[in-house]
Amino acid sequence: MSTPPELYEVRIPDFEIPGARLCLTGWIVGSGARVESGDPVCEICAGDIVVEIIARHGGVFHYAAVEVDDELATGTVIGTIELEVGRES
Amino acid sequence: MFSREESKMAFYMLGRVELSKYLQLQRQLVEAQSYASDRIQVLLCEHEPVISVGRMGSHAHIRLGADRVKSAKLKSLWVARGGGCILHRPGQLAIYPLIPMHWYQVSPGKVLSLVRQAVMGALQELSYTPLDTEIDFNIWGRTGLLSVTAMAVQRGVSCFGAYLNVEPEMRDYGFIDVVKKIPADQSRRTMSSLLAERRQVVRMAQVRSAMVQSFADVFECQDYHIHTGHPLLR
Repeated sequence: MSTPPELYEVRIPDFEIPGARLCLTGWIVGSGARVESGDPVCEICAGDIVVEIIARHGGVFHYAAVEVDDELATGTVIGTIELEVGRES
Repeated sequence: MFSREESKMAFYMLGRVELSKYLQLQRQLVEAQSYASDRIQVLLCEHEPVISVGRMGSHAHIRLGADRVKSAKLKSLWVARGGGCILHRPGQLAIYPLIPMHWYQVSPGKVLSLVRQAVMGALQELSYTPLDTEIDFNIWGRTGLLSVTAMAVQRGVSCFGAYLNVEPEMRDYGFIDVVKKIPADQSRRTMSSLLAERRQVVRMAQVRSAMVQSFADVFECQDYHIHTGHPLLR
């Protein structure tokens, strides 16, 4: 029996900008794409600054149920990375 | 965070450079800096006339007539930064601090507030005190918006920065809405300038020099280097 893949959740970190509206302004990789640790996966606009969200692990990235132009909050899961056994960086 | 012993800074005076050319340079520098660099690079320049449109901007914020856009040969360029539409033109100082954020353990909010603090510090060094408004990271005077902060974080490095109107030709600025939020005592969303504010000549060289000193102070760096031009800008 095969073990289920280990999933790592990609969340919006705390940008420390009180009152800023966070908005998903674009995906940088497609859902199902392979990412390396350090690759940007999407772009979040927080008013005066646009921040790329970085993959902290290598694996296959899948979008969560969020769409471009959605207003989001700190901690929202924007995707998951299916970690590859033996290749995790 | 920053400390007198550890912060490393280099300032690059680029002179006048086209925005598109600067963006190429910025891409190269971000790529290089994302690999464990500990050096903060601050690039100072003026741009040829162009309107940049950030992620919060739209063509609705550019109220210039089509004839004027055509006669002034004003192009607009969509850029991957926060903030809205900004008209760039000689006489406006563009300040671009490229900070490896993981190395210095700073958040996007902290970077925005440090950049604003550094620009405020430079203005104070020039014996000018802006209005005390903190609705966002921009700087206001009696005559309007003086400096706008519009940034991005790419590959863990801060880029883009602040734009301070020193003494640009003011024609057209009244037709570009830069910000959404305005202080209670202001009525316009457009940019003014330091010259309009102080009603006396302000030399760009003086502003640049005050900016260097203020950034070094805010980022707690005693030992920094100043370069003219950049080896990657050809």
